[in-house]
Amino acid sequence: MKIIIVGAGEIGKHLAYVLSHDKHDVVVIDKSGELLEHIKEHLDVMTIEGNGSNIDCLIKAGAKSSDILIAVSGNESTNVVSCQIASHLGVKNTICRLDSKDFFSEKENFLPETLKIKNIIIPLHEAVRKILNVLDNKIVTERILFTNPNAIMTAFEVVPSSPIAGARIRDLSNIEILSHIRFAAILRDRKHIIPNGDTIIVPGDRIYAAGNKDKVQDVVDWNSTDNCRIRKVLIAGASRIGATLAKELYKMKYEVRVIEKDPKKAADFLDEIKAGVMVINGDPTDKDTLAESGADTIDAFISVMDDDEDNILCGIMAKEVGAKKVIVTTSKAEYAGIIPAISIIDCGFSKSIIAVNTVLRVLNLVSESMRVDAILSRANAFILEFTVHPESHVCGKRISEIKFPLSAVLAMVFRKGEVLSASGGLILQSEDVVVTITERDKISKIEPLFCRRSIFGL
Amino acid sequence: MNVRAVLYVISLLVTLIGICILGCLPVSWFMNDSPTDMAQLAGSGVIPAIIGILGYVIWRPKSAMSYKYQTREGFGIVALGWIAASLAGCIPFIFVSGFTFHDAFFETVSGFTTTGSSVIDNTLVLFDGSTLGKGLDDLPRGLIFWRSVTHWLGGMGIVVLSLAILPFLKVGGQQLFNAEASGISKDQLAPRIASTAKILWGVYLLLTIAEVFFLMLGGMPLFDSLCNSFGTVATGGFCNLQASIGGYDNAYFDVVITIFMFLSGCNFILHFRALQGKALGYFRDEELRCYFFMTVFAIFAVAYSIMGSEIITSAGKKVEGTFLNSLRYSSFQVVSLFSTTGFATADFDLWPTFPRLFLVSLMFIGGCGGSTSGGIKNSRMLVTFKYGISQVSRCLFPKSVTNIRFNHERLDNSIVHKVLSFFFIYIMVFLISSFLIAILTNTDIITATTGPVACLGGVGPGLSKVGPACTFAWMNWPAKMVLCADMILGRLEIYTALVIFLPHFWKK
Repeated sequence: MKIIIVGAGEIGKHLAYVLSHDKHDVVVIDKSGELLEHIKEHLDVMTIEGNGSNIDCLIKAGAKSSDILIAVSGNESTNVVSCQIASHLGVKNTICRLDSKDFFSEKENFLPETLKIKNIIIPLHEAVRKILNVLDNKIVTERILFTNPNAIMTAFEVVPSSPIAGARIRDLSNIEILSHIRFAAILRDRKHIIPNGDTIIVPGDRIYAAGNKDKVQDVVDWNSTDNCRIRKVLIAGASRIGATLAKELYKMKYEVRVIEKDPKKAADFLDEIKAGVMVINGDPTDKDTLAESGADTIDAFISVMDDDEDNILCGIMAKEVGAKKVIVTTSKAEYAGIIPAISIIDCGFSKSIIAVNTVLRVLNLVSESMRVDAILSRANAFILEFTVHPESHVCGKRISEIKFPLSAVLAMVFRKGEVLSASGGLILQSEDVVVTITERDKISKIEPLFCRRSIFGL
Repeated sequence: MNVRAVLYVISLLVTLIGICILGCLPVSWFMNDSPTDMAQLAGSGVIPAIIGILGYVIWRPKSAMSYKYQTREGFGIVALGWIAASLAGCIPFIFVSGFTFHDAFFETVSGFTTTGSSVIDNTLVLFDGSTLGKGLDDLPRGLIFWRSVTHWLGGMGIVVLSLAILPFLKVGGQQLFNAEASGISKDQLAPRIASTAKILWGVYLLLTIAEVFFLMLGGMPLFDSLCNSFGTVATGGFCNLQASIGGYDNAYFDVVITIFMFLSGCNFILHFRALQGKALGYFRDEELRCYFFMTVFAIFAVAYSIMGSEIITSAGKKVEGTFLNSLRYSSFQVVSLFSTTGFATADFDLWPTFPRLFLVSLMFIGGCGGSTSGGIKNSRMLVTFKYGISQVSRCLFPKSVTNIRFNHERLDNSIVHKVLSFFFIYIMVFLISSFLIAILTNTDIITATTGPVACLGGVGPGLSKVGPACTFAWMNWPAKMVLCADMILGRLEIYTALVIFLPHFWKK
């Protein structure tokens, strides 16, 4: 497919990387020649220096013959205008990145459709949702949702007191509570391990458990220690994410405190949020400020400032002071690979990877190519959903009979809304949706298994 | 630099060369070469193919993860790939006709770099009456065909060719393309570099087929028209006759070849746009305008200066210097040398000083960027010229802003600097190799200077002892190697070839 990306920032760069490696024709537009130069050095894409909301520039990028335009520049208005121009020029699908829904109003009947924008993504909301999802329990580091609302993949950290610590996976098979879920992946020392019967679970592993929501929650609870609940939350930075997060948490009856360096921003924030949230004006990277805001008794410390380095540093400091769980967000996609190495930080979320995942999820709906859900925090692993085609190789076969690449794992199967554990004896039926975790270069090997059999194998 | 990654691609390249040599076998068979010649040709095709496959097996990526190619590897593949391709391509000359290694290497480098300087000579007669070496007409046709194929492969770039036809190479990014393509601005025609490469090769193929068609229409045999079309479209200059195109003595062929030489000196992107129906692009392009008007001016200036006196064709025939005749020979010669093809219909070395000097200056400039021609390129000349003027005006108005514009777009300072230093290095390389030739061969000053000009610019014939009626066969092997280096430097536009001499290039 021919795809135009407006904006060569962190999101645009990463999207160009993923899409061009998936053999799409990618054109990137940005005002900054330097950013484009950088992209062009590393990727097989075409770059155009210019304004993405300029019609001539979009025509030059071949918008008239493109299938999709993804506007992910930092400027919301540019994104909206380039999507409008693109749909005027005949681009069938447009994806527009915004920071909020403030542009549109249902009351005034002014909706994205009015402007002929097909899809809107708000990565900020996704990031907030991601953070909220891990705030109920100390050991949970990530929750991944699927098209089936009953299914979930939860990543949790194995603590030394956990009943499964030190056990071999094969020996766990007779435990009732584990029989409905599947360990789909293990992250150990930043490396993606494919669990098999002989894998021994060690404390510190992050286990991705897939299955029915309730069943997975049971497993998580079973592995939790007693004091895993989170009540008090401290947010560093009253950025847009911080503000949204604080509001949501307040609604969910958490005890929320916010530290903001800039006095004016802090005052504005307090005005916006009204009451119930304590706002402290001070530098979050300052130990005294942290102590004053009660970081020592805090359950979760969330750092959402605009500066990546500040976030990482004050995350480390908060942990030193005594915070139980530290969550850090970063913009640079590169940092997402480093944060797991800092064992002090419990969860790191990359805003750009979240945004890329959001775009990819929309793209899958658009192209119906049964593609991708999420990137497993940069471990080069992808989670994909495939629909079993009635004429495919695997239809009517037992899972144990399917010849799967070694590095791919079948995590679970959705059948008519029901979530089934992908045990070896299960027979795949047509229209089943299977969830697999696999490395990037294996995708092309797995995809044909589930699709219609054809001579060229697609 | 990841040496294994580079060697992996180069082995594929060598295999490709081997396959191309084998591809000359049917031609050899049709042209009734002797069975021994054919067997030797087959053998010399199989050797690089086997070496290449061995290299592929040894250096292929160990794990499922393929190699990562970055700028350094890109330069490495192109610079070393051209040397490897020349080494593989010279095997037929050694095997089939018993060339010495340095002669075979010179001939192959000259072929791939689309220079067209030859060491195949039958004009040198030794004291005992025997001729030195074999002339073109004595060589097996299969080998002659391979010689022309080297032109055709090198014209658009061997590495770009492999990008276009070997999708499993998976060498992403622009590095390879940029390292091999010519000119300042490297426009991308399609989002993927492989599709851009395919488009350019498509245009190239189309031009070749068109020329073969027109030449055959005029009665040239298929074999000759193929060889000459390869030589023309690649702006190479190898002809299958010792007397070059003048040997046919046919005005129609002269005109067809002149037109195609001119077209091959133009930016191929403009040809592609024209095929899309945007022929106006030709007139809008500043570089092409410069190329066109200079060609027209040169044709008339040279024609005027040689009119009246007798013209001796490259086949040794004497013709009268009428207006039409002088126009015919001057237009062919001007376009041939300006587009850096190097075909000859007249022995221009016998012309007066002014047209000779003029032709040598044209050799320096060469055709347009994005074409198959060599030389400094019109675009670089234009930019250097504009920069020169802006500096003069800055003397009076030191604070004035002087933007250098090319095709109505302002050029970044970094590009201007690259152009200027290209100009400087080009001249330095020319001077150094002239000195080297003078030291090594102790020849006259015209030979020592025009030889490197012709090789560096990818032209072929120079003046005096390397003129259109002579060859490079008489030089000793060190001099030939100097010229080989010139040819590769010129074809890879200096920078790509010079980076491999940076110590940092080899470090991990």
